[in-house]
Amino acid sequence: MKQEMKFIVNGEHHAVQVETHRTLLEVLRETLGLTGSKEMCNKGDCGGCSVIMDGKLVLSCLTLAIEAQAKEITTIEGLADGNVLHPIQQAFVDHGAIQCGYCSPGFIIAAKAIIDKTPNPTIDEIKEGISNHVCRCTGYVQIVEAIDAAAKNMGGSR
Amino acid sequence: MSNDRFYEFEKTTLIGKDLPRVGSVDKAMGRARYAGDMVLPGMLYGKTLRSPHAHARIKSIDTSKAEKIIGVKAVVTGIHDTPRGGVFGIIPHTRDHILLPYDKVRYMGEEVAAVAAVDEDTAEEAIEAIKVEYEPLPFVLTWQDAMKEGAPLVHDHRPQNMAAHYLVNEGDVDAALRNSDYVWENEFTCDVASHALPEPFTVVCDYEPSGKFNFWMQTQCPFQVRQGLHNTMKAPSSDIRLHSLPMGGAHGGRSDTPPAALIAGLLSRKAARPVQIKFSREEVEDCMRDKAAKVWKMKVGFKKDGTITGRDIYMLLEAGAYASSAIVELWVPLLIDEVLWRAPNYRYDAFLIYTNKTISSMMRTRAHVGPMAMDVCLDQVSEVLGIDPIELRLKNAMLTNEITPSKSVITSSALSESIVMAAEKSGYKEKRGKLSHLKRGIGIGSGNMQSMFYMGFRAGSTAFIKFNDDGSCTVFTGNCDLGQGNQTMYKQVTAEVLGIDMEQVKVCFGDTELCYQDPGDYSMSALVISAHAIKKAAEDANRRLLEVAGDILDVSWEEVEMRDKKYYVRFRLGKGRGVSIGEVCRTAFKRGKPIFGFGDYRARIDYSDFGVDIKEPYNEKTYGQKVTAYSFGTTVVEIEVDAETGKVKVLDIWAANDCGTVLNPMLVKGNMHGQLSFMLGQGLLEKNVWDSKTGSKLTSDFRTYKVPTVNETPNIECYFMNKPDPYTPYGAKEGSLGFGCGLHGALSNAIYDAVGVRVYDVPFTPDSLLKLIKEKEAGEKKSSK
Amino acid sequence: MQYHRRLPKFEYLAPKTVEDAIAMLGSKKGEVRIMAGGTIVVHQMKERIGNRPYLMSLKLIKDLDYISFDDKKGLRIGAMASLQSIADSSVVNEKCSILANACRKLYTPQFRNMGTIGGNLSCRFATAGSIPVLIALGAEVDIVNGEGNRTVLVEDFYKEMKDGELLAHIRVPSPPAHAKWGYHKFAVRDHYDFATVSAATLINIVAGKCTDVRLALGGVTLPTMRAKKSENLLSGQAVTDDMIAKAAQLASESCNLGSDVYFSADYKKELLKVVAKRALKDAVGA
Repeated sequence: MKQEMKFIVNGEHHAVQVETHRTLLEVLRETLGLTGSKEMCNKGDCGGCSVIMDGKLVLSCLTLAIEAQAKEITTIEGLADGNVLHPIQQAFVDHGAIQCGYCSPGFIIAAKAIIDKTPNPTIDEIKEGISNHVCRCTGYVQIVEAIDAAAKNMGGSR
Repeated sequence: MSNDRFYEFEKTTLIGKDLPRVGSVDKAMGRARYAGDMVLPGMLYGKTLRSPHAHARIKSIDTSKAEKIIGVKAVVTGIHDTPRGGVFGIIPHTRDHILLPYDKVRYMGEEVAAVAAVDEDTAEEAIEAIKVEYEPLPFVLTWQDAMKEGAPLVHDHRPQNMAAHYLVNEGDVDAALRNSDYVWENEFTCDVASHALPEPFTVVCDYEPSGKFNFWMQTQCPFQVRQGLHNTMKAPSSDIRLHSLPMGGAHGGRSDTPPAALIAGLLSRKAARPVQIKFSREEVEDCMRDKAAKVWKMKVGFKKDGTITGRDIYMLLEAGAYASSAIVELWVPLLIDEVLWRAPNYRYDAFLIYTNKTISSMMRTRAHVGPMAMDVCLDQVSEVLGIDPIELRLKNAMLTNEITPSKSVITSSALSESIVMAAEKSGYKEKRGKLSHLKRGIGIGSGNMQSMFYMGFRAGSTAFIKFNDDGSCTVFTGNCDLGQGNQTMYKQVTAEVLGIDMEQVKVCFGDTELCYQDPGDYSMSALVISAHAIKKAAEDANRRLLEVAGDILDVSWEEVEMRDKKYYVRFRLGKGRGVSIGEVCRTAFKRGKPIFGFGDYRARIDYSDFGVDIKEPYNEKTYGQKVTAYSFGTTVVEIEVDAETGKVKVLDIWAANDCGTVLNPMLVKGNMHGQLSFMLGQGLLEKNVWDSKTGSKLTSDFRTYKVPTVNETPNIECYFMNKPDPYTPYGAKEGSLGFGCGLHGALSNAIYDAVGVRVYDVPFTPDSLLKLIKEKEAGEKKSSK
Repeated sequence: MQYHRRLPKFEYLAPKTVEDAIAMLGSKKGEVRIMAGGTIVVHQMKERIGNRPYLMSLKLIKDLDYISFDDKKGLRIGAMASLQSIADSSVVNEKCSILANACRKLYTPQFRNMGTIGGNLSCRFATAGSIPVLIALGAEVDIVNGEGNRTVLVEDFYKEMKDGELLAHIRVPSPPAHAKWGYHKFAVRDHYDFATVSAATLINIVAGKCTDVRLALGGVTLPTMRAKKSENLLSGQAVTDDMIAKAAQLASESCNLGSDVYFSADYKKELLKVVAKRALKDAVGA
């Protein structure tokens, strides 16, 4: 059953026809071509599909696309300014926090959510903020360092 | 021997620097295109029908209904479409995997048929419409059941379900043990472990009408996969192209030719359209690869003074349903085990056993049982003989230039130094035996890894460098970048040799059409083999560049040097004329002799002294240089045990890494953290469970298969021994596996230090530890009465 | 057999009022699956568990997403209030900080943003993290059907609520001023894993004796979540370490729980003893 859906993604307005059994992750990736958010477990167990919806960090693989109606969504593609990296993205690159890169969009979006809510997060707050995420390559150490450095670098600005 | 025997950092500009990973920017932006992100015009979506039985004969398959569904463009089955006689397996004499079977299925989830349709919903509908008639057969899920008298055979031609046997017997172990002052004996096990890779397996195949298959898929060894497809699809290698692309993790789990690749090829050819097959998470965990469960029984003889007299090892490991690449798991523990602790008399008797389970394969942590067994042994024996555990280790640790029982030379080892370093940095001696009142403990464990073992003509790499008219260049290498930093390393080495900026170097990796063949990122060969070939290619190119520059400057090439990215005459007073590399390249083009670099490096593996005919590369008569380089390392771990629940909290890890020269410390540290995470997960958290009635795997996602998250990660301090190897590029060795393979031994020893119980079976889950703690308490209560 | 990546097809219903929702449930008896935040339902649909032809989302019912406080009746929270909104709410932090702190520590940021208190209650999982907390606080739920409302204690709703009804509101009385709170849980991976077992207790101690106590267990079957026998044991007694140990032992013996893929029932009972003891000790020590 198809329904019309209007929503804003990375500042752009979209109007698409979606079947009601499609998830937000599928529509972002397949209808809008925003393949940065990843299908890593597809069940909410890994954080790889994380996006920010109306200011809240959510799992797009467990969100029906139709329920993003009228909402504002930020995906990984919405962070950089053209080809200039967002400070969080730059920190991940500078600190070696990206290896295979498959989990990285999820972590970077989660980092944005952490810093948006708490501009000066403690290490414990950073760890709590990425507790839904699984990484198999980095062992998490450089990811935490990157988020900590990004928050300090952003000095309270968003 | 290479000129850079003892690498001097002062001469370099890039070696030893913290350089960001190449490719990180694309990944940070979400713009890196993985196989699952690809869309090709007219692309179809493939789905696979899988066996609901752990063991069954396939009697018939009826696809007629599926083929009539609108939108279904191709249906393939083993019975109708698998080329007969095509078999996959890493080693010829254990090749047994028909990728899309036509006779029997051997594990639950094995492929039986597949469809390609215009969308996934249609493909799923078509799968539901295929009718298969099976004759279920009895199955075996454990090695114990598989080896019983009269057990059902997974492969009819392998009695007792034995896939292979490997024996090394050096000296006289039985006499040595008989004459020892003390013989230690114990048994260790480790569970089946899963890679739980971030990117679920995805393959895209685009078949060209001319007969060529184009593949995009995650693989560590594109040339091996190409050979596997060549064998099973019966197509020439030149008609099979594996394209290069970023991949979401490998960690050993992408070393084989997966059935899905053959299936995608058959579907694309039949449908005459590109086909993409994406696995679900559960599909990956059930139907791709796991790491074998192992049993390690060992006896070690000691003299009173702590010297080891002999070691007698019996090892058994589960192959799963096919030998595939699990066969390598049979001899790799030998390559690792025989290098750590000296033993003049040595027996290693190993068996590979079939079971009706997910196929076993490589994994970055596979070496751990052997090192763990020795580390627990050394701790236990140090108590019995009254010798300090560090002294006991240093007495028996093998050294540079020593020869192993199977006659391999250790060209560089800082194992002893790593033991001392890890013990010192952690305060091991001050803490050990003193923290149990807090239920805390400290433990030490050492490990190692081999780089590049015997792989016949594949144990070598050829690199080619092509130069552009502006002086920039592209390096072509058959190896891959799985995310750990290989591309960065290749650029770094090339730029270092040529004296140019890294930005001037591009890497084309892992494309089987454009690159020369290479072992792939297999047996840690990226540095020791592939980077070595690239370095030679860069040196070859450098010589050509210097010659043309010399012509331009009217001096011989030996008088030319690179300064500030330009060529000048060496020692000439005043600045003189500087020639850019672009000018050199353009001049070379004009002369009809374009600049290029060509380098080949063959692994230093040599059995020729022993006159062995390599048809079966690993049998009891195979002696000689088995491995190109060995890396080592030691970890010390401090833990806290909740003695009421058995849960272990890891507080700190100190890791001393003998990886030779460290090319890029920031990247190697990241790789070290990843290895420790894998080891911790498998040591304390990860457990795989099968339903014994149905043969179904019950732990197929991140929630049930408990991989570590950030909150299970302790403080980690990394240290480098910086002892160069004489044969490797810049003296560097692999740095992301070997050092960490001792962590399970360290954990076992730390648990003993904290709560006085010995653990021998990995994983050390809370319930298993609590049981041992309670048994100890009950025993103490009894004896105090 | 095949592995599914996509959701199955269903008819999607999105009522805007509670009345509409009840009407839809009535007209399509037994064919409707209710979805709150979606973290459980969408997950289960992907695994082809519990699928029904209709999926009814409650997300558009604004009347169910609120948090309010009334001096007489205490906190009243709509079933669709997210766990994070409860954790962040200034009203909850002021009037019942125990609930705010408990919600803050449940699960992960994504699950708290998406998961609702009503969804967490009505999933009926033994491991639903909010249930023991709400039982220990003496919370009640309002169940709505075509005929009207009724209010039941949280620990009774599993047997009171019928198909076709909706869990609409949660009422949390303010804890007595001197009541002491204790909470403890065991998870293999903290934050990420659902607690294998947990224990929550609200206990009032006057003149060294326990005047009233509620002890609720997580990870056990719903009928055995309230550890009544342990409460009776403690009532009127001095809460010594010995009493706590006995109460914990009794709680473990009296509850029902099953083994799972990872742990046996026996081990979980051992764990339950430990978390119950630690929760009581935390409360008394506080």
